[in-house]
Amino acid sequence: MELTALLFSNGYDENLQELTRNRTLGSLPILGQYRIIDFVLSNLANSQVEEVGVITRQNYQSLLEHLGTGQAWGYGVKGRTLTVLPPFGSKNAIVYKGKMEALYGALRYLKHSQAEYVLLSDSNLVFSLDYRHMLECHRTSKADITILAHKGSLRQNSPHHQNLVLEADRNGQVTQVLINCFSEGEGYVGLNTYLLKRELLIRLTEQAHIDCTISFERNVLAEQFGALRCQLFELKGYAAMVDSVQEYLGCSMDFLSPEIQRQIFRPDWPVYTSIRPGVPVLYDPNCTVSNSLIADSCKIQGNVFNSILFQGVTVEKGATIKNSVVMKNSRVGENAVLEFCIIDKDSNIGNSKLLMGVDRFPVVIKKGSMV
Amino acid sequence: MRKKDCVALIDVSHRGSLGLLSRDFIQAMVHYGGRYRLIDFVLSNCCRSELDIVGILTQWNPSAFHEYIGTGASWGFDRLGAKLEILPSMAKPEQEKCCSSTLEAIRENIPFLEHYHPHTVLLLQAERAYFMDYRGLLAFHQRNRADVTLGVVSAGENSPDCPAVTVGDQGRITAVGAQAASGHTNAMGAAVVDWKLLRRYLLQSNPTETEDFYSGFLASLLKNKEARVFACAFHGYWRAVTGVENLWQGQMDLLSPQSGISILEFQDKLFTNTPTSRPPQYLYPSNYLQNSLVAEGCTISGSVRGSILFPGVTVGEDAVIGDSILMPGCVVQPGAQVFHSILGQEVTISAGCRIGDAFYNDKVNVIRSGAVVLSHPAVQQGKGHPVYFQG
Repeated sequence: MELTALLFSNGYDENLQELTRNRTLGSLPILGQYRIIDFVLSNLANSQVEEVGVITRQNYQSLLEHLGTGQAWGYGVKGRTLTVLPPFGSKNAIVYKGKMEALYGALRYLKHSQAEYVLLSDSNLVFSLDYRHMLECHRTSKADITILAHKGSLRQNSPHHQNLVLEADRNGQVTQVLINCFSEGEGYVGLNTYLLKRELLIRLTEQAHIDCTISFERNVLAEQFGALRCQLFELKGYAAMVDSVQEYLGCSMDFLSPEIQRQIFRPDWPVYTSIRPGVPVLYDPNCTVSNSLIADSCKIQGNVFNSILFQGVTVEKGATIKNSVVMKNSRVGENAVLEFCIIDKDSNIGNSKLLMGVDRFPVVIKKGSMV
Repeated sequence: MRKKDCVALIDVSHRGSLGLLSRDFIQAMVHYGGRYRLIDFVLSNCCRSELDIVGILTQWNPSAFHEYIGTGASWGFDRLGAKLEILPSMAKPEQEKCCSSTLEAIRENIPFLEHYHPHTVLLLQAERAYFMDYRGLLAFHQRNRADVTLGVVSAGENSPDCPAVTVGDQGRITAVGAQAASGHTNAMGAAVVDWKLLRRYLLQSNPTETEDFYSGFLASLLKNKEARVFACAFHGYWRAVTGVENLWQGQMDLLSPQSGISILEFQDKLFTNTPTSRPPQYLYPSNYLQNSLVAEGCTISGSVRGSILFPGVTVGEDAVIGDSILMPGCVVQPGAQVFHSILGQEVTISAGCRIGDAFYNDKVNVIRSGAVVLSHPAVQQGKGHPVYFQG
């Protein structure tokens, strides 16, 4: 076996406000019928990566429920494993703070693996990529660490946003690693996906434990930059890293473009999920729906514009939903108006209620609310 | 040998024109209700009735049918102690076409039934759309110490090939099929039969004789006045889906609130095997969509009203779909028009084509699976028969 993958299911929890209060970042519902970890998992499954470990920290019940045996992505069968790695607390560290501590908790698992290389990835990434191409690039460049990046804006999007900015030479060798560097214009932005030899990762993890360092980006990539040869692997095409409420709404709205749908929902590179499809959507004689992504089992009697409806959403007569995301089994009452809202699961928006946010500051209604 | 009280046998041997609409040519495999198949009704009913052993009597076995049924996990038959098994007909080599009757198929599978030693056998026809808990029917059978119990429905115009039944005193059946006075009640396609009795009949009668369950077994049983043959009335929504008109009308029932069946019921009652994952449906800014059912993976840019779109259907710009059923993977190119039609799997209607008429409809148009309709000025429906296009 060549490649094993380790996913981090937590992170950026405070930036996502109510959305990650009761769940991990990895199990954040997105795009009508998915949890955000589905995109990375499907990329791994489609790239024939045979061994995947998911490192959890807290609130991971919804993630366990979603992953199940991993059957939906072709794992949990002979020769293909999906392992959930719960926090491995010692008396020193109960809840880890950074990736290096998390990896130290998973060290036994890592040592037990037979793979030559390890892919480290966050679970909040939406893109379509064959990791075998990244592995090939890693091999031919003879680098120590290969970093996935895409050309993106360096503008600071939210006060909490942490980004990794890379500069590279013509051959893709990284010449500079900058953290939290914000400026106008474009540059290579890291996508928190790294590929390196398993032995090297074990060595770095053990060293980090001795040094009491916690961050992979800050303490390994930036501090040990001179000692490690880093290679940049550019991801072409659409990529989103959902690390704040603004990014969540932005990524959702991106998918109202047919071009981006074509890039991510490829018939030859399917996105799998363990969520079972329900009944077809019932459109009432008097509804208006325009430029929207609608999941199964919805019942639509009102008006929906530029929005994303999850499974089982009911939109009653005269209700208007604009530029919003309404999650599973929520109900929007008669003549209610929603604009720039993110309504979490099982919520109930009463008749004639008016909820309005703005582009960069959407209204977030937490799971199970009665408005 | 495991002892079971009841073994269910599902008969999917009917072959009709509906086969043209699905690649597998078994009529009960036809797509139904937006993302289901017709056979899902009877399989889901068996699952919800907690029947453990279910056999499917087939005359022939296209691989697509095996693939669809699989282990039966989609209908819960992978649970401990349960089994969903396809029982192929052991066609003899000299028979080019194997078209034996239901009874013939059961005779060939006596060893399967003997393995479970059931008291009763539940015979089910697959081409029916209804929700029923068979435990009620089985309890009725037991309470009456019946030899045979037929589920019956009040005859309507929608029961073309379900034999009429005459019900006498105390719910006892006195005549069936040609002998029965028509217009009262019809057999619904669910019957409980005492296995010992049926087995004796199968072993005694001449194997080469072409015989029907109703005209053969039941008629001979009714000759004996002592036989206890009962009718158990079913009052819910029921429809026999045996022809194109029924296939169209049955699905259109899902769009009309008065029909007695609602798509919302399907959520808890109907299970299906979903092979691939498709993204949510996307509606372009220009679409006009009313009174329709749309499944996952569809992209709609044109206008759709009163129609049912199965997974992965594409409706191009300025295309018009009215009162039609579009099975999985159909593509209606920009500007094409489809009215009062059923399009089989993966049919492509080229730009500018028109199928059917928006106002004048007496027959449902049918386009065979996989067909590509090239830009031909207009295709009007024939007066006598529905129009079929060869792929």
